[in-house]
Amino acid sequence: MKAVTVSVVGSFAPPPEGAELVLFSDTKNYVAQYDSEKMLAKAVRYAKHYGVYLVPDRFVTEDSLCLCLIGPDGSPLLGQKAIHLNLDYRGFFRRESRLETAVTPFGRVALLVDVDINFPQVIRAAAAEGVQLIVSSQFIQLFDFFDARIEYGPIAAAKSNAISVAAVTSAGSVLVGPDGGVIAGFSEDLPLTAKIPIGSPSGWEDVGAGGRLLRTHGMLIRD
Amino acid sequence: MLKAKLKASAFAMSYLSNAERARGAVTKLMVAPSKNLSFISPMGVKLCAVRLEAKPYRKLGDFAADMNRYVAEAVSAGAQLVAFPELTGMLAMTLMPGFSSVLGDLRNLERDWENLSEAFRMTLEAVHGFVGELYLNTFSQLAQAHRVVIAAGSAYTIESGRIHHRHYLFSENGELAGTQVKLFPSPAERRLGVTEGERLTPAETKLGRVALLGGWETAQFEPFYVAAAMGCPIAVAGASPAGGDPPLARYRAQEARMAVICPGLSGGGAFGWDFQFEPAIYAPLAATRTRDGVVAAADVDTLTARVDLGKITGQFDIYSADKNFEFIKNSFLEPVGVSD
Repeated sequence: MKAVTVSVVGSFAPPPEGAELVLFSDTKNYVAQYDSEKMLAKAVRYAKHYGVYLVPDRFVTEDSLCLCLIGPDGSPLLGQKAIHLNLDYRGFFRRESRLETAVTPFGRVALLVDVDINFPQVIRAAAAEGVQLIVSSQFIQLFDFFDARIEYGPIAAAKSNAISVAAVTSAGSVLVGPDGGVIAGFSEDLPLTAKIPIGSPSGWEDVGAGGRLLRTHGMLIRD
Repeated sequence: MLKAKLKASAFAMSYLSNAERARGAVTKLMVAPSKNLSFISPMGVKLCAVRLEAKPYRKLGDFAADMNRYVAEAVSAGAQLVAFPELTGMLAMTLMPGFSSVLGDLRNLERDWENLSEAFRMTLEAVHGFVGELYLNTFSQLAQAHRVVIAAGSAYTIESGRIHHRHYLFSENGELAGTQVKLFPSPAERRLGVTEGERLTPAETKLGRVALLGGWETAQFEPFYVAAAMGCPIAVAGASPAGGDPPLARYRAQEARMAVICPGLSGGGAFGWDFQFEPAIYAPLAATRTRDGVVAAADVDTLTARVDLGKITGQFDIYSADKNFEFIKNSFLEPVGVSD
């Protein structure tokens, strides 16, 4: 089974030795549109300097809340706009209606922006695309924080679809294996580093049966 | 050999079992009707998850008395809906003379899927008639006698030549208020030739619509998503001898904003298994006192707890309440990459 060493660090803090995929834990809700370009340029320099795959802070572009994956050579590998929004942001940002994925040396990856980790349909769509690792980055207000809120999305996603999940939030992070077992975290302390095995998504039969059920009740779901 | 054994056993059962006997076995228990459903408020609905001990029975009277024990305990705790685990109905098969010999033949075929699926079908063809008769009449009579709603678990059936795994719910009048063909058979069931259901068909009860789901469905968001869209405030989905991960029901309760009754299982040694699943009742995180989604979970035979359905279905969480139908349409209704 393939594995990747994931490290969650504070924004632009140096990664620990051996880190292959670095995720920034951003304590702000997002980088505003006027700062996004500068942040991304700095992130490209960071990825090249340390020779790592990098998922930097959540940022805004084209009126959408976004995440991206940058390769060790500084090239953009994957960008994803938020599919669902924190209702506090409704009216400010647009919703994306498609999930993008990218192939990396550690398997097919999808990025889940902010609250998308709480929506099982997004993870199921990722499983249908053959995604093996989900990287999620979410902002949670401190007054809304409790452990179960952090854990339920990643663990449910992993257990229900046999996908590994690296979930970063402003309040702490957790790394989950494809069997739903917590490999590291939940922890507020940084860096949080662990080697996580890469999953193989759940059987086509379940995904196919789920798709058929949704199509059968399609009109109902629309209403 | 198996065929001959089944023929002899089924012939014996045709004399030993009938609907009258099943109803009589419950009547003998002299159950006094409860008043648990005389007043219903969505703010305080009492649900019960049974932890069934999977064991064989020799006499119909013992089977009826044991099932009654669970229901009576739940009723005395005030339960209005009592939920049994998947395949409760197949315990009626153990009443068949020669059951242990038939079971031994089936176990000898373990992992020989081709021959096992053939033997499984042959067995069901021989037993599904009397299993249904005894199981359904027993639970219908129990629901009527206690005046409570019973989600009676499920049993395998053969319908138009297809093997289905069907769930049943009885109203407080003993009427069949809903059935559901299992939507997601487990991988083992698929290999045995169990055909999946196509539609969600919730049961209508005085407490609201109830989705009857199974063990393997706890790992799938789709049936809960559809059940919520159909207005079900309650779902039953828990332990099953056929496989599944009951604790996942906690996450489904949060996602779908409903109460999920998760029946448990124990025993099973006589069948070569060892079941140890606690019963539990789940609700959305913010609707539970401990904010972990667990209304109640305990190592007991009947777990009864009060839930506030208004609070559960009315949960508003800014982190998970958004909707994006365009995404559903693109990803599932006009599927790309989803095999059909």
